[in-house]
Amino acid sequence: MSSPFIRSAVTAKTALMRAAGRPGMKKGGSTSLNGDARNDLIKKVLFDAPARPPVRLSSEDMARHETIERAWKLVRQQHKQEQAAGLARKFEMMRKANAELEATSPLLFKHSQTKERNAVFPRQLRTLTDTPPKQIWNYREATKA
Amino acid sequence: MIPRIVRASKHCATTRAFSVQSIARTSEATYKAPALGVNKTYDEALKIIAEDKVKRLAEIKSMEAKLAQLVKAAPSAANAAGIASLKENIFKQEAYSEINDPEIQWRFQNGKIDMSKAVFRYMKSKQFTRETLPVIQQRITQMFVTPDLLPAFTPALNVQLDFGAGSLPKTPAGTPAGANYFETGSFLLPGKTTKEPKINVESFHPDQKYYTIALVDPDMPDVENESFKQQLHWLITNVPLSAVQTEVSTDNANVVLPYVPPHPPKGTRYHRYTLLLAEQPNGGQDKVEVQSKDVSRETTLRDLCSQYKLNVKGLTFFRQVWDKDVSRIYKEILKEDEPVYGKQPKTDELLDETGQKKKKYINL
Repeated sequence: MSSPFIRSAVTAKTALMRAAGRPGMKKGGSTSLNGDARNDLIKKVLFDAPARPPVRLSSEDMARHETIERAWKLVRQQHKQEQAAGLARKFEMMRKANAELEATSPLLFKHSQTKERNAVFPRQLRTLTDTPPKQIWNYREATKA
Repeated sequence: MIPRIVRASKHCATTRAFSVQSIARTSEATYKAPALGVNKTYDEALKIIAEDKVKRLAEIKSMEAKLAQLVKAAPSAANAAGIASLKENIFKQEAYSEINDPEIQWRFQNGKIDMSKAVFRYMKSKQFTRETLPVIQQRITQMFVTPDLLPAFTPALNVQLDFGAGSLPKTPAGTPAGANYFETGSFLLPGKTTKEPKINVESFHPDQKYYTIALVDPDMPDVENESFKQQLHWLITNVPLSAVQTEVSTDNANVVLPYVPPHPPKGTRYHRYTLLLAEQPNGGQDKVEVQSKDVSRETTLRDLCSQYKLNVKGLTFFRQVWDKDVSRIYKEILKEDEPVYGKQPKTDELLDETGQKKKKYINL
């Protein structure tokens, strides 16, 4: 990985340490007492790194670039349309099912469309334990209800 | 960080941004397709675009079949709405199927436009809506053309006047070579507008419609009413126009009132000479018969539009101020005495009729 700060005689690690202002690593030998050593590195990245030059394209390459951009937009549009179509199909099936239920049984339909307002944590729920209970399953109670 | 992509040569400008200074372009004669095999992504992009075009053409076929069915069925309100929406959809799909083609893009940017194709009509209408329309709207509302002459509306087509070479202060961007179109609201010289202008209309409908053209000066002083009156400088009816037929020629139209050159009198402020383009009734299919006794040079635009049920579609205007050429126009063309207007003499409110100072206080 080539970095704008690398010099040939110096390794990447040493360069980074120097840039960060690590005591002893800097050429002059002095340490920065005030502030975080990483701030020097941040300043270097922000202010000393050269701005990337703009990519210059010929008109032929520009035409190619714009065509590629249009094709990519088309692909994304197609994906979105497929997703939307899938959702629309699912919604239509749900709507038909609800309509059929409404025609079949008004009471069941009403219960399907409404939620219990004062829903509370089920009291019959079994608390979790480390070891299993003495009676795993009560067949009589289960088959009665 | 995505690097900025910039065109290499200076003379490849885009028509996307609306700029007042135009960049001179050296346009090539024919389209040269970018070479294949250089950029694999580009080759794949072409494949994707081709597949999309095939899909859209298939969709267009099915929509046309549905349209044929609807047209055959009994006419009703719902049917008519369905037909209209289907036609609009077909137009859009025809445009979208070809808009991604790099050749079409090149043709549009280099002015090789064939308005009989849906894609170019679509692109031109979008360009008009994004670039030209905001300027026209702003100038019209800023100069109060719309509340004064007509109620506020959104122009649907682009009207441009050409008074010949040398008539312009500055050519705006996007004007094709050889045309002398000015920006809406520009000041023109009276000496340059003595002859009829060439009218170029960019309409976006493929079928032919009949339009009425009127040039009006709303700022002629009306001394009796202490106000202003409208003066009709030019009235032409039954002008056939379409996306392909853009030039207005008086040969296939009826000139009701011949062209009178603009002549703003001395002493008045600038006059706004407004050219109106109105669609004739029944979607532009009806021809309008204007009797010379029904319409005079004093008819207002509102009365004209309501009397003949015209649907206003396009508007442009230019401004003029008195010049020595106006005196020449009055003498040679109008053959009238030139009026000179001035302000009423100022009356000093602090003096009475005899010229004595008015008494401020009275003795009770």
